[in-house]
Amino acid sequence: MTPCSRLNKWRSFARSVFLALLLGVGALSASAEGLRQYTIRVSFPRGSVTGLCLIRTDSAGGAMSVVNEFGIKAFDAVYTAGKGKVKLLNVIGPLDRWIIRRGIAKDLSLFFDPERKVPRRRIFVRGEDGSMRLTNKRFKITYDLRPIEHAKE
Amino acid sequence: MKRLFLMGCLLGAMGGALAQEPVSVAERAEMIERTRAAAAEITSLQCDFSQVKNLSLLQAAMTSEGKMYYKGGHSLRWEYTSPYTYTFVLNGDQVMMRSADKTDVVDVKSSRMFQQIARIMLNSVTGRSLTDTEDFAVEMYVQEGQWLAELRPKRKEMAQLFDRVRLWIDPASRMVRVVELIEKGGDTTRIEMRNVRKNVPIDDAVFAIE
Repeated sequence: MTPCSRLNKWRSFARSVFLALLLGVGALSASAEGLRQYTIRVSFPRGSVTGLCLIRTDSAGGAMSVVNEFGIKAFDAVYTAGKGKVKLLNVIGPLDRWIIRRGIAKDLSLFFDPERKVPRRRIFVRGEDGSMRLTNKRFKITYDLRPIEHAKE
Repeated sequence: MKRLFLMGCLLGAMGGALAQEPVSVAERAEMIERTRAAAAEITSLQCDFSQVKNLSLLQAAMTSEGKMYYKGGHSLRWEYTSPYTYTFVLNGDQVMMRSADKTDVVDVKSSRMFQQIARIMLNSVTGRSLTDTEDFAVEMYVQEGQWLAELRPKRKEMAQLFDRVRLWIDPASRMVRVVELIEKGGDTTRIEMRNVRKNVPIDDAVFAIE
């Protein structure tokens, strides 16, 4: 192995460690804020699916996990407050299509920050009980989130 | 050398069964046969359960509780009572899923994934999944006096959902006490069964598809 390639390998390793540390710090800072827990129903033209949605936010952004009632993960999402961008992670196989990821990501931004401007072709309604309903008019998808009472963390 | 060192650290950091050796082939066969024999004696089962879902990204755990009923090898009712209400009923070829505001009924035959999920759920609660070589590769361990079965899904559809399933089996009763689902990303779902009652009468109405 030449000195140059050895140096490149160390740089790559150091970058990976740095990134892992950053992600760890990100997760730690997220844990400092409260956790919101909801039941979720996502309705499509052909049917609907239900599950649970957990959201944790702080000043920098937030993280979300959506699972079915048995705990099987549908996807995770991370939100960057400054850019208003959502990125999906750990997406279950059947949902792991770029068009689904992109469509869902934009919809989810409102659940992290309900005060932000509603993106085009969407209708967003908030209930007094903390519930939220988002309709994506383009893809005819509706998300219904209802707070879980007395949820244990 | 550095790669080996890093690999060693990673392996050392991983817990549970990986640090142990599986039991011998002969012991494994005996444990599986004894569990199968006990499962064959089960005509009905009911219990309370608690489910803890660990979400690594959120550094949070969500706990839910409910009741389970099983009868005749083809009927299962899995009902969450707290902190949300959700009922899953499998009765023959039909599945009913009821949440707070809606009920859906699905024909199991219409979906291969549903068929597999139904079979795995029915087999996991009794321990029959240990002999389900079609769906899983099985290794057996002994951990803290309990039998631990580690099942790795063989089918692609199941492998997309979880990396492996762990069943903790009480060696005295040879019944499953804990089911743990482990996802590829490291998140886990742990279900502990309590107040288990075997072979008591259960009304068929419990499994009615409405």
